[in-house]
Amino acid sequence: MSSQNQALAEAFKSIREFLTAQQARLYILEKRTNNLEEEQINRIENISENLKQQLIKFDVVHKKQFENLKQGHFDVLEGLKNLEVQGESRFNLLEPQIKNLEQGQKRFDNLEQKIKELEQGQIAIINERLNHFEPILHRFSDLETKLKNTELITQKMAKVLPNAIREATIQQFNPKTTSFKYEKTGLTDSLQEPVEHCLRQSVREDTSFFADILFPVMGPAIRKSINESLKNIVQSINKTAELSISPQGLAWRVQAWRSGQSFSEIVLQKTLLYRVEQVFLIHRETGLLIQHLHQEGVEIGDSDAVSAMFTAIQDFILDSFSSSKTEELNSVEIGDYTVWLERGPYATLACVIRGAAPPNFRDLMHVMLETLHAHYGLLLKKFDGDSQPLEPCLPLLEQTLQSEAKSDAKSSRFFSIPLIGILSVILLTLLGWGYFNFEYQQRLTNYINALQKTPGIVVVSTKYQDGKFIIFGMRDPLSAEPQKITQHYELSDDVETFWTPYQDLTPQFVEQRIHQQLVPPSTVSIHLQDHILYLKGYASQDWINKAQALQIAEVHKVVIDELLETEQFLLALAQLELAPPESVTMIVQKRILRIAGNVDSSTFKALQKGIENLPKSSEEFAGFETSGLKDVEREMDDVIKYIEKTRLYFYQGTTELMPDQKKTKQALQKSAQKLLVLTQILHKQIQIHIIGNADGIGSKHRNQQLSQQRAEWVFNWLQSFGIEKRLMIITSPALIRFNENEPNPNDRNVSFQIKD
Amino acid sequence: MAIIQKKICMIGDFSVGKTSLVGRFVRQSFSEKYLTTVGVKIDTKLVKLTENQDVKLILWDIAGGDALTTTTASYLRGAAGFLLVIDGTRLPTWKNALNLRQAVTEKIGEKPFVMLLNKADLEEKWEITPPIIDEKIQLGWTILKTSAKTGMNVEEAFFKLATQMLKK
Repeated sequence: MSSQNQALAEAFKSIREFLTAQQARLYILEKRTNNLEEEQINRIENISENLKQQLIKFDVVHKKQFENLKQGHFDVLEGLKNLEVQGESRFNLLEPQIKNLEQGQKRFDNLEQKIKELEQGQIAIINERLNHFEPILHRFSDLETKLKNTELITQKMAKVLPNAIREATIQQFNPKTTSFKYEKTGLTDSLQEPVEHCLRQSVREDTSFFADILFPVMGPAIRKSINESLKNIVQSINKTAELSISPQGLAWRVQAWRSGQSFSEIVLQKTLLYRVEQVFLIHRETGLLIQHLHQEGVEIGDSDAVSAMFTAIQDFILDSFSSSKTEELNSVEIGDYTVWLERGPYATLACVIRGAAPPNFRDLMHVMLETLHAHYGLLLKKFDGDSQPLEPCLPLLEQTLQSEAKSDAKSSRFFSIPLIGILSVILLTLLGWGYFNFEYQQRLTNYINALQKTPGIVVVSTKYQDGKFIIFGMRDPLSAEPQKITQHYELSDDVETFWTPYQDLTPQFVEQRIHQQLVPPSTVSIHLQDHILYLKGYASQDWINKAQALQIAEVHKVVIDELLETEQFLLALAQLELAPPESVTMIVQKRILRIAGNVDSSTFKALQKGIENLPKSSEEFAGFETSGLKDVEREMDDVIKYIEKTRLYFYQGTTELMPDQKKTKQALQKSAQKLLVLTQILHKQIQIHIIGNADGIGSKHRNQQLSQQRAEWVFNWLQSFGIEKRLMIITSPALIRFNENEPNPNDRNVSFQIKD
Repeated sequence: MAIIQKKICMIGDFSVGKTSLVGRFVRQSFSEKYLTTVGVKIDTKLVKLTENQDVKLILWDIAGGDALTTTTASYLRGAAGFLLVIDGTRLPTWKNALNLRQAVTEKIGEKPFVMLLNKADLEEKWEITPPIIDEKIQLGWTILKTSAKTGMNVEEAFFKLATQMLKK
């Protein structure tokens, strides 16, 4: 046991010694490490840091192990007596730990070796580097002295600067070396400000110097500017004149007044509609087309030829018209198109514009061309037919087209409101004119038709001459008056007619001509059939003779079977209408109907009435003579009444007539004779009753006798002048008066009664 | 494939057939009618030189004359080459052509050109004889007998000039 413990103690001791030795060596190592060059410190520090870490680790492990061993030693010391087997096993546990320690030792050795190697390598490198730096340092101090020498630098810069600027220009403008963008870092932009300052200062110091330089330029420039301005003024005046009276024009005037701009400016702003349809970038020297752009849908020809032609035209103009070789072609007018040309030193920009572009578009072109020259001047100058390197121009050029997109939209409103107004007025006028013209033509056609349809008018030809419609034709003088037809169609002012007279042979016109020639009275009717003229009615003998002698075209024969001489006709008419008895005679003389005869009352009345109904006019009856017509029946009645009223008075007591009865007696005789004639005419049977009367003086008998005697006396007397006996009868008085004292001469009479 | 544009001028005396050559070359047509060119007439034609090289020839058919006028001279500006046309049947046109070439060179510098002895269809009437021609061939000039009427060598002439211009 004790030997074992001793062995352990020795082992510990040796370990301790080992550890102290190690620590001492480490210290030395650390010192040496600290002595390394400053330049190597970082590296070394890293390593030493590493080493430290390792050491710490190692220390920890070592301390742990030591602690463990210590613990184990105490345990062993305490438990040795009781635990022999346990002690052995613990020794077994210690063994690998020792092995570990040995391995740690080995690793440490290795590390040390490596540090040494590293140390040596690094020093070699540092030395080498220092050797390298030494000459550089010398050169650097040389340079420093040289830099301080301004004169030398100026000399050298003078040699380099032109090349440098050229290089910078190439770099800036060569799209292959830049990113195709024009940044503010370009040479131009860098120089812009100093150059501006220089110029400004130079001008400030000596104005006349620049004036001399600019002199040859100013003249043409001013001339050009004035020309442009004049063109603009003319353009704006034209527009102003167009718009000054429209409502829009008035609105713009208000706007001009409010905004303080001139009216022409407003008009220019509002009205200039244009579209840049094609843009040509043309190489100035060769006339070759560098780039060409056009609006979509624009028809393009051979743009290369166009480009060359533009150049040729410019050359031609320059050679032919410009004496000083400074005036150049600025625009070309081709129908609706205007080509505007702007020239730079190497390239010409040609814009094909439809419509009227505003003058400031030229400014845009000018700026565009300047920009193109600024960015691609060298490429433009060296252009030899290959346009690919200049493709980056396209986006710039496109602006010329793009800037027109707005105005394109404007121009798409093709019909402006005033235009619509004007168009509608024109349309309405046209419609109106069209309608009136149509109406006029219609009227003319109807008029011609009407003329054609008019019998006796034949339209042969028509024509327009000196704004008049002229009609040539033939006309029967009997036809309707054409002037009236013209008036009816309200064409008197527009139409002139020329008529050649002719005879229309249609029956209508033949009949008219017959009428004109014969002037038939209204009592004659005319009928023409198959060239035979039928005359009906009645007329004077003279007229009938005239009609029979008629000579007229288309009338071959005149038939007058039914035509009567007027008086014949009238007599026949009277006979027909009155149908008088045979006792009545009628004649017509000078259209007067003379009627005579004895008729009874009824016939008389009928005839009277019939005569009243006979027509009386200038062509018919002129009058009626009826005095010869007698109503015998009435006459007879009158006679009978007269006779029955008549008394024959006698002397007293006698059959002797009173002396004053002579006239009565004669009248009575006439009446009796007339009565007799009338009864014969009327075929009437009458009886004359003769009644004798006496006054009351005397006896009844005597008076009866006297009455009889007186009646017989009258009877005989009547018989004595032809009154037949059988027509008379003596009739007794109704009363025989007698034995009266007073004589009454009135009663001493004879009276009559006539009975059928 | 890039298209290169080149300006070519037709140079020669009156009535040597410049316009006819262009007409034959561009439109494959020929007319016996003589129409004098006033000023300049421009045509274009695309010529395929190689599989990868097209050249667009801008042909400036300049009014003919025995000497350069101011206007004619300005039309030459920027030309990459020219065709010197001679009427084989008229000796003076040969002499004028030589003067014209000289004038053109003075104006635009040495440029490739091809000399065309035109009207080869009338060779029996030619006044220009082989010795004169040979003399110039010795100098390295490209000389071709052409006929705008038959089309002989017309394509070749333009093709040759185009090739020469591109080589430069």
